[in-house]
Formats: sequence, C-alpha cells, structure tokens
Amino acid sequence: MASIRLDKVSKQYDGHDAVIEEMDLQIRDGELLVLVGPSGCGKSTLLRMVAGLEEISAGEILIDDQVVNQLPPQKRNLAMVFQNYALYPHMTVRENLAFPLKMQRLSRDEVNRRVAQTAELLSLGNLLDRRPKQLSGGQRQRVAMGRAMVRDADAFLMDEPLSNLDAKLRVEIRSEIAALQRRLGITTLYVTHDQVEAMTLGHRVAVMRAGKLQQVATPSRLYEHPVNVFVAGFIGNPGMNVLRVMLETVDKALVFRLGEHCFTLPQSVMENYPDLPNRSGQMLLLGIRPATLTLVESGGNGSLEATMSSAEPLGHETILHVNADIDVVATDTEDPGNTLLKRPTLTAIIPGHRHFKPGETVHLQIDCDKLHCFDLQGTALAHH
Amino acid sequence: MRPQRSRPGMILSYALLSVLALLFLTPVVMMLTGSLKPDERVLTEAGTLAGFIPDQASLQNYTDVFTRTDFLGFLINSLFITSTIVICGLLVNALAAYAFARLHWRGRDLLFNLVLALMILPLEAIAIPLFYGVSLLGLRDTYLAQILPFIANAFSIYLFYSFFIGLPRELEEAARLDGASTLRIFFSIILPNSKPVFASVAILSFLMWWGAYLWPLMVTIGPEVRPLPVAIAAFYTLPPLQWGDILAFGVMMVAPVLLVFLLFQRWFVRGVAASGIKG
Repeated sequence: MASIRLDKVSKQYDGHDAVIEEMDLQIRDGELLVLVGPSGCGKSTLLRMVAGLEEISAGEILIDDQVVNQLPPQKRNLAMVFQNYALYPHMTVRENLAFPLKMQRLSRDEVNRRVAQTAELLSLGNLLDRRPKQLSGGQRQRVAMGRAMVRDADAFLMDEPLSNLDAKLRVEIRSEIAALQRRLGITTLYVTHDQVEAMTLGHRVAVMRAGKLQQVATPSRLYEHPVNVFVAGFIGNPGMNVLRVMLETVDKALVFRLGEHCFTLPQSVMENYPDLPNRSGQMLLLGIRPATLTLVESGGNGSLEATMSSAEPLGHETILHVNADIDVVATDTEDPGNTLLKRPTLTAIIPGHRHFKPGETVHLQIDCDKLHCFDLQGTALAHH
Repeated sequence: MRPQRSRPGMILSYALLSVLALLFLTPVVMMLTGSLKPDERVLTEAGTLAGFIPDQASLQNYTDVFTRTDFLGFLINSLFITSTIVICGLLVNALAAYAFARLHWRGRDLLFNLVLALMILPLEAIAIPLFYGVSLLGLRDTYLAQILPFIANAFSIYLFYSFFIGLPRELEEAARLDGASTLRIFFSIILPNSKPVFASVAILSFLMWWGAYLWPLMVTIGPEVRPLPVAIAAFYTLPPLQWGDILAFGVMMVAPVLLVFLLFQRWFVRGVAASGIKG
C-alpha cells in the first residue's frame, strides 16, 4: 500500500488556461478518497496525471514520498480501472487477468495461482474462458477490477468505473467496491461526477470545480459544513437551497429578511455563527437543506408561505418544488450573491408519498438550527 | 432505419448493376474460355456467343505455356517479390502509422503531412531518379531492386493511421499501466485488434505489386528475376504468336490474386469500411 501526495500540481495545455491549478492533495495509506466535481472540472485529468498518462505542467506528485513526475506509468505500480473498462477484446477473461502478471514475468504457476485467486474473490470463476463481448456490463466491470487487483499494485485509480452501468447495478457494484477496498485496505483514488457515489464510498471526499480544489473532508463534514455555496449546492441530492437575505437588527434582535418574510434568529444560530451580529445591515447568503424544511399548517417565526410548483413523489419521500417571494441564487457561479435563478423555486423533501395540486399554498418551516450562512461571495461564515 | 426503395427503383438499380457486372466479367470469362480452346478458334470466335462456350475444352494451351516459357520460375519470382513487399510492408508501415497516430515526438505532424503528400506522387514521376539510385547501388537485375523501394508506402501508412486513430486509447493506456512497453503494446494489443486493416493493406499491396510492370521492366535484364507481368509482355513477342497460350498465361497469372482476395475478403470489406476508404 502507499500514500499519494500532490504538491502544487498544475496542468496547462499550450495556449490555454490552466485546467488544474496548484492542487495540493494527500491520499493517505489505505484510504479511499473520492474526487468529485461537475463534468470538465479536471478530475479525470488529475487522475491521469497521477497515473502518469498525462504530463504535469508544474508541481510534484509523490508516491510514498518518492517524486514520480518523471516515472512512466508502468514504473509507478498503480492499477487503474477505466470508465469503459478497457478490457482487451481479443483476450479471454483469464488472459485479461493474466496480462499484467505476464508483464511482470512471473512464472506460469504463479500467474495461474493469482488469476484463480482473483477470479474466486470476484466470482469470475465460470467466466474465465469468455471474451469481454460475451460479458454483461457488471461482469466486465468486475473483470476490470480483477485486472487491477491481480497484480499487487500500490494503489488503485478508478475513473468513473460505474458510469456505464444501469442504476440498480451501480448500487450493487458500488457496495462491492466498498467491501473490496475495506478488505484489501488498498489506497484508492476514485473519480466520479456522482455525489451519491462520492458520499457513500469515500472515506474522504475532495470536491473540485474548474480545476481548483474546493474542500476535502469526510462525507458528513462536507454535508454539514460546506466551505462555500458551490460545495453546498453540489453535495446533497437535491442540493442545498441558497437564498439571498438581508440581516437586520430589529428591537435588539437579529432578523433575516427574505422578500416579504422576516424571521428572528434564535440563540442557537448566534451560537453557531458568533460573527453574525457584526454583519447586521449586510446582505448574506442563507443555505437551507431541502430535508430541513418541514410542512406546517400555518405560518409562524421561521416559516415561509409558498405556492406549489411541482411535486415528485418517490414513495418513501416527496420532493417539493415551491415558489416563494424570495431571492434564490445559483450555487455554481463565480458570483453567487448576484446571480439569481431565473425560476426561483425552493426545494423541500418531506417524508411519505404525498400529492399536491400546482398553485396550492403551503407553509414551510425552516429548521433554524440547521441553517448555513455564507457571505455574498459564497464563502461560509466562521462556524463555531 | 434505411428508407425502402420503390420497386421500379430496385429493378433499375439491379439492371444497372447487372450490366456493370457483365462488363467487368466478360473479358475474364473470355480469357478463361479462350485459354481452353484450340488457338485457331480464339480470335475467330472472339466477340461472338461461341467465344464464351468452352466446347472441346483442353489444357493444351496450359502445357504449351510451361514448355515454351519458364512460367514456374516467373511465378516464383512474382510470389517472392510481392509477398516480401507485402509482409515487410505490413510491419514497416503499421509501425510507422502507429508512431504517427499514438506516439508524441518532435516534428511528427510535419512528417506525417509530408508522407500524406507522397500519396499523390505516381511512380512514373520518380522512376528515373529511383532507377539512377538503384543503378548506383549496383542493384539492377536483383530481387532487392524490385522490393526495397516499395516496402514503405504512404498509402498503406495512411490506411493504418486511419484505423489506429479510431482504436480506443484506453486499451493502450491500460496496457501501459499493466507494465507493457510501447512495442509490446503494439504487438500484443494493437495488432490483434487490427486484423481488418492488415487484411485490407495486404490485399491492396498484393494487387498493386502483383501487377507492377513499369519498374520491373526497367530494373530487370534477364529472365532470372523477372516477374510475371514482364514475362507475359515478353511472351507476346515470342514467335509463334499463340493467343490461346497467352490467355492461359493470363489465367494462371490472375488465379493467385483471386485466391488471395477470396481468402481475405471478409476482413478486407471490414477493413475498408473501418479505414474509411470510399470508392
């Protein structure tokens, strides 16, 4: 096993802006770190740079404290699982598994022993003589995993390995990968654009955006304490609602004004964000997780009156999209405080299977203990 | 879904295709039937329906060819020259194309454009300087003179390049991470997945060099290293003029080409489709 460290790593193609900018990242020995971000944010490029398939423009990549910038991919002892599996189509499963071992010039007995061992571990025993085109998507995925596992690599690199599978299989294989990683304890860098995969698989999750690292933290920390509105909007499904509000002092009490709505901040919010009193009179961004909004009969402090736009009953819960007289901002822009959504719907998740009529008036109660406060640039305020 | 053609349209296209097939097949069938007839009937029946009917067929013309010329020697020469060009060409051109398609090196694009530009240069344009070079090296009247200049071929490189560039890059990257060297990747991963283009290039080169006439005529002097196309031309001038013998010579010359095509036809069609060659 090994640790992987990226020290101010940058990537720039000739005559273009940098796709990766001074990235610092550490993947600890035995850790499964998930790199997540929207398409085109540079996460696959970063993975390929670690693998040695892309040159780096600046900085250093270290594997077990050894700089590997100049080492070709075959000398880094890393195994990679590709998005489309990259199984050799002219070889059987057995030959695919044996290929990396043959490259290491292991004896035939050792090759056979390790292939059999891996096949047993991944339940590939009855598929060994088939070619990739005779396998289903899930089986191909397992063979690709097997080819990575068979050769005692120092670390695994996985580039969106589940994205070609259907939803059901994805959940199945996801838990298989998690179990295997736990059992083998192998350092793994896993790239995905799917935040659910990131949250369920990662010991820690690194969120990337436009070539820059936004936050590296455990899944629960990311969810509960996002460092900015981009992370807040990206992590969680549906993402966090972010509203532009005015913080005012009324009768010595701090209140948030959201359009026509106004509610007094309870003591718990002040304890969470001790800096809030100093920001009275300023516009702020307020983050509300959809699951922290509850449906109430009538309005009170911390409740919003809204009209139903649409509802998505999912069985165990219902996702509500409602319109209210509030400024909802976009979380994926450089200037979130000034980028209002054209269709400012607020999203809420309520338990159970419920039906609503479009246009129906509802009241949503905000759980003030679970509010997130950001400045207008989208950076989280100091949290206690 | 492909739109279905109307019935009259189908009939018209079949009729046109039949006429074309007839035009292409007529000389071949006449050559075959003529080669089986007594010499005096070959010309008199040419152009009539009787020309296509091999009544009183005999292999006399074929035995005449073997007694009047060293056909077997010429056949061996042709087979040796063409096969060597094809086999060496497959290796050299595929490796060159792979370097152009996948490896990164200084001057790659410039050199590749120069190679592409070579495709429009006909042999006739470079025959004299090439001949001069071969003479200077003392290679006239040798196999080497007929093989060496034609192993590397711009069109073959282009065909390989078009195919390789379409292969999933991840296969090579996976092999590289598995510990394979560039050459190992080429021979273990690229080559086995490129059979169609190898078949296409092999057939096209075989056809091109099997029928080559001008260059072998220039560089061969005696019959020892002479290939079939030059030999058949010489056979024309060998008295007495026997058309039946000449046609038999032609049939035997065409047979290996047909055999090669039939053997590799399946891959050839796939390779042509994959490399994007359009008629």
